[in-house]
Amino acid sequence: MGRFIVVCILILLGLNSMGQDNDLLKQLQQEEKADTALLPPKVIFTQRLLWGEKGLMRKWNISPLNIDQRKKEMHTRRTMLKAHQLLGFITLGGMVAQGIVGSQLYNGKPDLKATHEALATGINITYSMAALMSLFAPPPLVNRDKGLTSLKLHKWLAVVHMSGMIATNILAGQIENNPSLKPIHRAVAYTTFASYAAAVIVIKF
Amino acid sequence: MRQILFLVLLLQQLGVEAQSTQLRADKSRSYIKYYMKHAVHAWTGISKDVSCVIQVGPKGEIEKVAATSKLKSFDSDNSNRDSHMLEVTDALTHPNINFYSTSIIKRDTAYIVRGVLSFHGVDKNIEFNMKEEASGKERRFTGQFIFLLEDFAIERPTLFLVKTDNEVKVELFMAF
Repeated sequence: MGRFIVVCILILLGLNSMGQDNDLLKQLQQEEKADTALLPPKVIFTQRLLWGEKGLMRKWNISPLNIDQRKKEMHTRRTMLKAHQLLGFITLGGMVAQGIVGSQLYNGKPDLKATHEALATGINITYSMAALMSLFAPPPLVNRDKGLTSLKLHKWLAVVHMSGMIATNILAGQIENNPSLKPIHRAVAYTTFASYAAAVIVIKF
Repeated sequence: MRQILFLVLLLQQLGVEAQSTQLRADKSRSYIKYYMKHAVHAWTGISKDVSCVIQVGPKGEIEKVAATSKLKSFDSDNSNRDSHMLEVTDALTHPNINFYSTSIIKRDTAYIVRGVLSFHGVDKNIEFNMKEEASGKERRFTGQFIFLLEDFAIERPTLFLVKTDNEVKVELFMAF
């Protein structure tokens, strides 16, 4: 009986030492401080307006700031950014088509004016939707871009093409009364297209 | 009989504690780096916030190793991409990537390390070679291994609706 107990204890000791493979890890985990921040320290103002600590979604209790809700927000963010990409490509395609139609219109094909205007409406819609999807998406989990990064370049180019989009539309409305604005309208439109295409190219996953 | 059992327990405990020491990695110089690929480009992410501890035997040989790092600490120089990685790895639920060894075999200046990698709430056995370099009193270890995202139930991130490669190469450097 005594021997049996000794054998049992020795087996248990052996099993115990095998089961302690992760004791060092447990020790490390106990020492580690948990990172409980749900929002990054820097959030762009459009996202902060909705999703910031005191944003409208929090105030109206639509999306209280907690882990479960942030997980849902991350899903929403991903969907919105995918839509941003898709709409971005559609807009880019529309801009290429507009470039072709626009140049033919300038070269004496006035019957293309309606097509040019319809394309402009389509581009304005997809462009605005793409911008909204990015500007009002829930904020990321980290936001620490330092130096010149592809994302920063993407954002700077967005400022250029957004200004270009506004200017192109304003000039388009004035061409009717002032045809001398046509070359400026075209130059601004080409600049907008170039900065938009560059913004698509520089962005990386 | 009771005295014998008590002695066995005491000797085992004293034996383990007297012979082994623990060393902590120098956080300022240690790092873990990952390498990933997408159809249009490749990138790396690095964490310099790695907690690593080794248990060293009387002859200086490594008996055990464990490491942990916060997923948020991995920086790929693009916070949108880092945030995307945190989303797919569900870092809000599983904030760390952990490793502990189950067996370590020494071969000259290298070790064959087997252990459990815990990532995204999934535990997987892995094996890799770890090389040792000594410089004065300092001991440096380098190693690398490859794992598949889908082995850890991680949905591969996408860009332009195209998924990244499943394979992730991990490189580690620990200085003690």
